[in-house]
Amino acid sequence: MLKLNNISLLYDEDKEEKTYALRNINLNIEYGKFYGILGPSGSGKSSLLYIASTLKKPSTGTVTYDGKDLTQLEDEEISEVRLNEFGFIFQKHFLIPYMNILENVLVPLNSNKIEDVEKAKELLNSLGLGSKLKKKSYELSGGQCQRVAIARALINNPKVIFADEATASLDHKNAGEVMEILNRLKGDTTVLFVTHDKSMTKDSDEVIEIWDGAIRGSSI
Amino acid sequence: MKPLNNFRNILFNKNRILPIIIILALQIGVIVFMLSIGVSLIDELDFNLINTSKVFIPVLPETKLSADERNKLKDELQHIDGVNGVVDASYNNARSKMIFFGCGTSKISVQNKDMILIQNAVGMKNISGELPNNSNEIMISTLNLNAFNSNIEYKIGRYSSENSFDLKQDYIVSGTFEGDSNIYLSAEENLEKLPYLMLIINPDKYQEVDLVLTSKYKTLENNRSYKNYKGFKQNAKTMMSLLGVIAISVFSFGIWISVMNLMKNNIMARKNEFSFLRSIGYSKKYISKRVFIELFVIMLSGYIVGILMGEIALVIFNSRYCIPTGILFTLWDNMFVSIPALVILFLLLNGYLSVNRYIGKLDWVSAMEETA
Repeated sequence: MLKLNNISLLYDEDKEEKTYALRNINLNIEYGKFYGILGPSGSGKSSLLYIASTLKKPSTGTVTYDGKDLTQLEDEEISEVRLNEFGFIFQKHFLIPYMNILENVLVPLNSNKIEDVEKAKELLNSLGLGSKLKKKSYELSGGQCQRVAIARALINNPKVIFADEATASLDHKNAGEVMEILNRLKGDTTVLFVTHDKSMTKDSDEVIEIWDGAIRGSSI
Repeated sequence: MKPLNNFRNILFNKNRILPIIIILALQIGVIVFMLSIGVSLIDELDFNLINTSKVFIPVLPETKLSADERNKLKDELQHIDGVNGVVDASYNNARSKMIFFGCGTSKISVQNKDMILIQNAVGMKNISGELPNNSNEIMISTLNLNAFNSNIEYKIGRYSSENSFDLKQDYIVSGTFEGDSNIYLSAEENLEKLPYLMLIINPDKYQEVDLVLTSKYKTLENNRSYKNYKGFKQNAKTMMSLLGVIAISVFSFGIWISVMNLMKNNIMARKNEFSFLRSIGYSKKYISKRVFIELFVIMLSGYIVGILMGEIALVIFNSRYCIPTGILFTLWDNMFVSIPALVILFLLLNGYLSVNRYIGKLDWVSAMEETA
């Protein structure tokens, strides 16, 4: 469903001496699978995620999604794909501080229709936040905020979830809970989970190891 | 494409916009207050100076003429088209009752026989009391009566030049009147104390009379009084208007700096928020639109609240200070709405362009990477 063909990313394209953040990456992401993208800091794993999710454009190569070359689309069209097809969880929760958590979850839908609000409530309930709907992000713990971020990523029924170090700022217990929630999505949603912590990839369908901008190995 | 316009809370930061609205409203309120002072001054200039000066023109220079020469000149002036009468008079400018600026309310002393002529010339209405009979009596307009009774002579008029006078309370108010002009009328029996010849003219013929006088006075040895009088009248309103424009412009510039600075801080502080929204798929256009709506709400609220606050301040100022001291204060003018509206429109346009530029140039991917 999501294919990365011969992807390279240069740090400074204008400089004579080329420094590659990513080099000749080829990946075929299948529907419903959980992918762990593992690598040390600076290895290029986040860059890979950003390119796969269209947040960044590659220097060379193509990203195709359901047969459509995303690298050829205009900004408005790519934005539409991200808004409708993808879900994002970052290391920082990026909850909007002046909105309560229910409103935050509704942000990707940009809707306050009753059915959407009910859906957001259900999601938050399922993540154990049903009693905190009116709370603001600064009233919650880091783990709770990250769970809200997950609910927000799921509200538009994304086909692919991109998670960039989603557990990196959490303690072990909270990180485990987040992983458990993400693992539950397997089968229905494709998850690309970037981490530097190998233990977080133990339940992945496939682990893609990145080293120095290149895929070092892939294991199932 | 999912609906993108039915979630009113996105990018509408109530907590952040409230302080901006308050500051904007306060400044718009001050503009309304300043405008009111300006309009009051101009109104008073119109009423005291312009209207009056189109009825009376003091023309005789200070230098003494012989009785024959004076009568000859009087006769000559009487025949200018538009001149309704020529009387012996003294003519002084009293400083206005307005607190901020001396506008030159006229005090005219004439002999008793000419009183009726003056009375008709300025369209005195609702006369109560009697016409003044001697130099320590004055007839006063009803709107100045409060000022006089409030013992605020220091506001009504200190000596500012040899031709100004101080309206102290040792004058006896013989009567009051209402009319189109604002004068203090007094009587003087002694001709020696009436150095001027006062033309009483048809206000519609002012320009024609002025032309004839200007050409005639070229031939006279001393025309200082008429030149001074004309110069002051022509310049006063222009100068006041110019001063008002400068004051409002400087203050508006201050508003622009302060409000735009607050807006800029507000927008910059939300870099992560915008970056996140861009990352999940909101377009530049949509974010700019929502920020503009927020800006619009700030400007509209600041505008409405500001005008209301300004008006409330004016009503309080008028009731606590102006009415007790007899100061005529303008509480409403269309300018109180239109000038702040121009300021707001400018801020809105500037804000819109700035927001568009900022959102357009926002390197949101780097911002996301830096935050991660």
